[in-house]
Amino acid sequence: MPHPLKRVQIVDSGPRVSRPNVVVGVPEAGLVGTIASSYIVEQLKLGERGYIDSDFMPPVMVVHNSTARYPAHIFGKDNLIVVLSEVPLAGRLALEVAKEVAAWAKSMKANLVVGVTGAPSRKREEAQGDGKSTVVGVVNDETSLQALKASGALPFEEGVITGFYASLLKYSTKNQQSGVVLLAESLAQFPDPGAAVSIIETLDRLLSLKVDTKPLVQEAEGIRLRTRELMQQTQQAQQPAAQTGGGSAYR
Amino acid sequence: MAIDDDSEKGREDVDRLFPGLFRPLGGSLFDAGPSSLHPLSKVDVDAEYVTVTFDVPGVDRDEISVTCTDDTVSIEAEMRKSFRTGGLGRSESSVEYVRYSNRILLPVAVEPDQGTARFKNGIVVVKLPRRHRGKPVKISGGHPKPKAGK
Repeated sequence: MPHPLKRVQIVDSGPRVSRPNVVVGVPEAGLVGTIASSYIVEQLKLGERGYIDSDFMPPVMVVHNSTARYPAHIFGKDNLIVVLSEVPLAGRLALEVAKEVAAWAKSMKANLVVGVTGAPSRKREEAQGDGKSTVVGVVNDETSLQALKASGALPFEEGVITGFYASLLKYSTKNQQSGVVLLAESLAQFPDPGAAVSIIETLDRLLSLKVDTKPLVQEAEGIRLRTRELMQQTQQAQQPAAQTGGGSAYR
Repeated sequence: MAIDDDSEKGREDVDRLFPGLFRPLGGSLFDAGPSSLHPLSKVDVDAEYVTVTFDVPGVDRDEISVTCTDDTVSIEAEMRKSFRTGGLGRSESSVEYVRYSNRILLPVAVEPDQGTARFKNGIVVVKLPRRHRGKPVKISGGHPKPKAGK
């Protein structure tokens, strides 16, 4: 009998945390979610506490100091947990990972699940990715709406979100878990660290993180160079979505 | 092709910011030629124009050269500072890249003499009018339109 394919498994060996805030960033438009969450991990020196595995994941391991690590990792410190994927999650895999992350967050009695990503924007394309982005938020209950209002992000009033973050919000709602997805206007097909800066500034107000974004602004060009391969892989993984507009959100 | 420059930014090493993440291991983006990288690019086509956009962080406008033909757009750009990828253990040394280089084959013909290019924030946008030259083709078959009054 062949082994059935393992759907998605979250392995968290970190200490128990009381009412954590869970920030989730995966590669989508402009790699905004991945750049923002990686930067938070490095700046706040969050320790690695777990990983996400699935037989549907691309056959990739990240090598750091000669040690292979899962490309979808979980970091944390105090009551902040960051879930970060360094590989694109497309189609069914995106749905399954979002579902498991939402269930895992609920099992920890999370205070708020915050998805961070980019929303392709014509205005951002015309600005050639220069300057700051407008950040909007989608919430799923009164608690997350109040938190969003306090952060200064504009509510995303009418429209549709698709893909990983739509599933994250869907399963959070199903589990009665407060959630918000922050979307920064971004470039669609090129890495957009400027949009990631806008996301981090909003997160700073939402979760009181105290992250200095100046180094990210100063080193944006280098980050664009370093993330170009992941951007290309993400474009390829999202090819069907790209043919219908390439966005994770539209109004 | 002359390029309009809107910004100039310095480039710093990001190793300090992302010590464990986004370490490129080589691959299709790194095989443009000795010391050359293929820039990320995209092509948009509408009824009037073909727009080709290149992501070339870390270059100055004066170091970019864009050349167009009826059906291609080429870019060459020297980086201000070289970009180094990690080598694979002892058997392979790291590779240093000093320029971007690529040629894009366009899906439709354009008027290369009427192109414009704009540079800002390490992104080059090349806009070319589509070629709409054609000759009428006579259609046979069917029935001629009846003359008025008949």
